[in-house]
Amino acid sequence: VKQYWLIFKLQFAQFSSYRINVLAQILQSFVTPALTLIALSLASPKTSLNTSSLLIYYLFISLTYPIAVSTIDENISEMANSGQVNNFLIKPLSFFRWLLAINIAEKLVILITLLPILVPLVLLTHIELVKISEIVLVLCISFLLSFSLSYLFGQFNFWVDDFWAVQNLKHVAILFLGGVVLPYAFYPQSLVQFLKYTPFPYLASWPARIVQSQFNYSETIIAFIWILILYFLAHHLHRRAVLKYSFTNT
Amino acid sequence: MIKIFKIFFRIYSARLAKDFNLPLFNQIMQTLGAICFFILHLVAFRLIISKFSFTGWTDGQLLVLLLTFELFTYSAFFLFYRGLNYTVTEINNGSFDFFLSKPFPSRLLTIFRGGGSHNFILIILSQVLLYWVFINYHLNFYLPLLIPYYFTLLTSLFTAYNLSCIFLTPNFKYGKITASQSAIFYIQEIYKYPSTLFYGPNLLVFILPLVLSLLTSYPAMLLLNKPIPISLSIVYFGTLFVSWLLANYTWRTSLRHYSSAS
Repeated sequence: VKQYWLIFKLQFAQFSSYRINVLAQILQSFVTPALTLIALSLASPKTSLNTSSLLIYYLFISLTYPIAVSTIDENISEMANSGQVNNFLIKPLSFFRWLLAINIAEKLVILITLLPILVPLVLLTHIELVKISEIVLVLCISFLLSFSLSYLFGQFNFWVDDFWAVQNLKHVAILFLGGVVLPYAFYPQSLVQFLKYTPFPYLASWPARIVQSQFNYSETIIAFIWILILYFLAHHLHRRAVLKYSFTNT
Repeated sequence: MIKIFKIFFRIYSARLAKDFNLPLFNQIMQTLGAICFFILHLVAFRLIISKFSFTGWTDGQLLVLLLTFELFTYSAFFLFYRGLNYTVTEINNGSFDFFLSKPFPSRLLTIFRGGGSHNFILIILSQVLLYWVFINYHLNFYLPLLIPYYFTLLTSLFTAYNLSCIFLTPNFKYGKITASQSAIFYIQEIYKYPSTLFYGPNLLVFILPLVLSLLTSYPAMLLLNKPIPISLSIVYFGTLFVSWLLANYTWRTSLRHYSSAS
């Protein structure tokens, strides 16, 4: 644990020093929802959907997306291409734990950067303390689930040359099936019912949905089951990936 | 100028030939990776127009706009994305020197590096679907309008290229800013909506969405033979001119901060 704590501290210091990058990353998550909201606020709704409920939804999505959604598969891709994976073959370091430590450090820097927006927002919207604790819990579970999914997808990098294509598939699945691009109110009810049993609703939009509705413990159980499934799948794949991996510096 | 066009043609045709000679599995993977976003835009927009209506635009016309957006986006990906991606890294590691030593403008040479075959396939697919929408939604189609349509699509791409260069320039001064390479694509959501939405009494508030949405709305309105207010034409061509001047100026001034690998 000590060595991972050290890695965490080092990465935290590194991420904190690249403030423009962190700010750009945060800003990115606000752009698409803000532009969608501007356009939809000027359009005429055909149903009972109103833009004020969309505003709260998109605002929370924008704030929680950079914290909850892990893109560790990009790091795995870089490491596999540059040969850094070799370090984990010769040193007594767990690849999974090392990546988890650096990802938590990154997310913590983002969370601290977002605090000046999050605190006034929570105060202004009069969210109860119980709800805040639920959101924090959900955010942690979302991150773990997202990390497991991203780690699993990252393993495909050892088999597929065009890994960006796999990344795109994952990204589109999270954006669309996860309710990031559009809230579930836009989707057919049958699809929403089906999605409940998949990992997607528990990734990016879960905290935003908690703000607008009741916290459901059964959802937590489904999310945990998915974390376990993805974790074991990823570990099984990683063992095979290491056997497949080869790197020769040219 | 002809020499520059010749170089660009060689670069893009060589890259396409290379991509089309890849093993079939790689080609399928690349196309799958690109088409998933294409489908996401189509499905998400269909869901939006099932819940919201846009004054002055029928569902068929909105789909023409969306496919113009797809055509514009994938053309931009095909033309610039590779260059934008590489330039950010090269500014950071100092290999950008190579472009400064060439007898061509660095702003042109660094961005145009060839495009992937998957984007080329989606450019064609957008146009096939556009044709399908015109038939399926019984929209009036005037063949001569294809000329101003493709011309304004090219001018919109030129504006997008200028904006991309402006977004890249902070890399010269502040080091690697990864998000800057895709900045023009992060704001792509606004290109899907009709610019007439932002054109009204609150014009000053919505000037930025208006300017950006015009990049696709303007060609789409021309193809649909919709009346275009003269002020919108002024904004559209004004943006083109201002973005070109601004991109030239920011590129030139930012280059002074570039300190190579040292």
